[in-house]
Formats: sequence, structure tokens, C-alpha cells
Amino acid sequence: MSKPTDALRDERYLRHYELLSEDARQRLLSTRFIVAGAGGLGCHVLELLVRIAPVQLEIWDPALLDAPDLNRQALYTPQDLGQPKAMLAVARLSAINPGIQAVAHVRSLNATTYNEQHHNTLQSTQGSSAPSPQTAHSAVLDCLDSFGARAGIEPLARDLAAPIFHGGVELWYGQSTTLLPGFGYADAFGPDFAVKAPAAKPILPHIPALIASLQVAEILAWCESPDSTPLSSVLCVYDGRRHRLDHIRWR
Amino acid sequence: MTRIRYFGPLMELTGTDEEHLNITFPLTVGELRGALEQQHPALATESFRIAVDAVMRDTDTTLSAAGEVACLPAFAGG
Repeated sequence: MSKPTDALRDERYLRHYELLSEDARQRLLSTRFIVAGAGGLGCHVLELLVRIAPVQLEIWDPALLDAPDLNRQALYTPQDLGQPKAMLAVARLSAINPGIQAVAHVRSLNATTYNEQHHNTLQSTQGSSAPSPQTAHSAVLDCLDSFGARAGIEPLARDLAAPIFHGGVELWYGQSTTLLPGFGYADAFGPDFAVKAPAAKPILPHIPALIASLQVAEILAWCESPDSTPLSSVLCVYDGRRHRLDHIRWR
Repeated sequence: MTRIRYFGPLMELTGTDEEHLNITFPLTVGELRGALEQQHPALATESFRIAVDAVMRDTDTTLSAAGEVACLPAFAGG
């Protein structure tokens, strides 16, 4: 009988297969990745993940594609303008890797919407199917664009005992950290984190690409070692003007 | 002299990414912030956390010394 991780023996994964332990492969395939936001960060995180493995994805984003999104949201083309990004992302990602199991939700993610959705039959799109019953873990990918929205996903992550892989970008700058269960946004960003000002609109396209790469590196680190990752006690801050990375410990 | 570093938009507000200031210790992180706001009044309306020697510190923490202070706004966008 074949092991579940035999799915990663496909030739398309040959370049990185041996770089992941068997435990990491197992966790990668048995985790439901709940992705909040299919914008600048989300596009890059998602594309990297589906190229690494035939992952299980839920993609949550209420927004329609606007022209200014095209400077950095790498899954979309001008022909997609006006369509829901979550649906577009599932279609594009399924074309990149037909082995994924991906579901689009054209709404904001929070504990209430998640529970409503999971009380109903999950709708599949573009030939993709609902997450498999072999799901053993959940992980929340924070690719959101405001701290108010982040306050909405934290109770869900707590309910699921799921880590949050956080990214944030603005102008020439970005940050990434991993919030393991028991450590939240308020611990990391202060008790008033949810009322922080919305992001300034200008953003260079390579900034979310870089921060998304850090998020994916953290996901792989978590698959190897779920109790501790390089950024689970550290804020990684990127200054794109000086091309500089700093690590700030939370405590 | 304590090295003070400003991140993200705080660099634009202060006109520098770092400077060296004479800080009298001990003082709390909140008092340190007040000293920085005296130096750069535009900081008074900004939301940011302060890290001391690469460790994030709460406002009421008392500092007996600091080699490097980092002023860190959070980047909200995705």
C-alpha cells in the first residue's frame, strides 16, 4: 500500500523532494492551509505552495480584481479584471498543479464565516474538490491588508489550534513572523494592534514577493518542527530601500 | 551614546534612519519614547513599538541601559 507522501514522488517535485523530511512531507500533505487574502502576499504564497506539493487550500477573499492589483498580484492578468480574486486564484493554481485540492470563498475570513461555510457543503470550483478527510492539521496564512481584518482571524486560529503565518507590507517595507498557538497579535504588535492605521496604498511589487517567500519558508519550517520555527519568537523586518533584514525578538 | 534606529515611514518623518543620542538611564520605555518625541515631534502621532537591543519592550519596562533602540511601526498591507 502506498504512503500518502508518495504523492510527492512525482517528477515535478524532484528538485526539492529530498530537502524535506518524511515528517515534513506528511504534515505538508495533511494540513489544510486556510489562506486569508489572495492579493499581493497571497498570490506569491499560494503559487509557491502549490509548486511545492499538491496541498489542500481554502482561499478566502471578498474582493474583485482591480487594475492597480496587477503590479504585484502575480496570478492574474488584465483579462481577469472585475472577477473575484479567490475564484481566479483557484483556477490559476489548479492549472499550475492539477493535484491540489482548492476551494474558493468570495468573502472575508473570520470565525463566523468559517463556521457558516463549514456547516454547509463546501463548494468546489474549476474541477477542484473539497479538502480531503485526511486533514490532520490546519494553518492560517495571514495575507490580509489591515490589522482590523487580522483581529477577525485570530479567534478562528485559536479555535483550530492553528499557527498564523503573518506577513505585512507597505511602501518599501515588510515584516513576517509566525504566531504559534498561545501567542497572538496583541502579544506581537501591542494591545491596540487592531486599530492601527490602514496600510499606505503605494507598494513596490518585489516587497510582497520577498515577504511571501519568508512566509513559505516558515510554513516549511513548521512542517519540520511544529513547536518552534525560526520566526516563532522573532519579527523579521525588511527595509527594501537599504536592502536590509533585521530580526527583533518578541521577548 | 545610544544608537536610535527608525524603520519604515518613521525614517521619512525623522529624516534619518539612525542617530546617536545621549539618553539618561534609568528610564521607562514610555519615557524613552517621550524623549524621542521631543527630538522629533512628528513621532508623537505615530503608532510604533520600541525594541531595545533587538528585543521588543513594553511601555512600562524600565531600562537601565540600551546600546541600540529600534522604533518599529507595523506594516499593515498585504
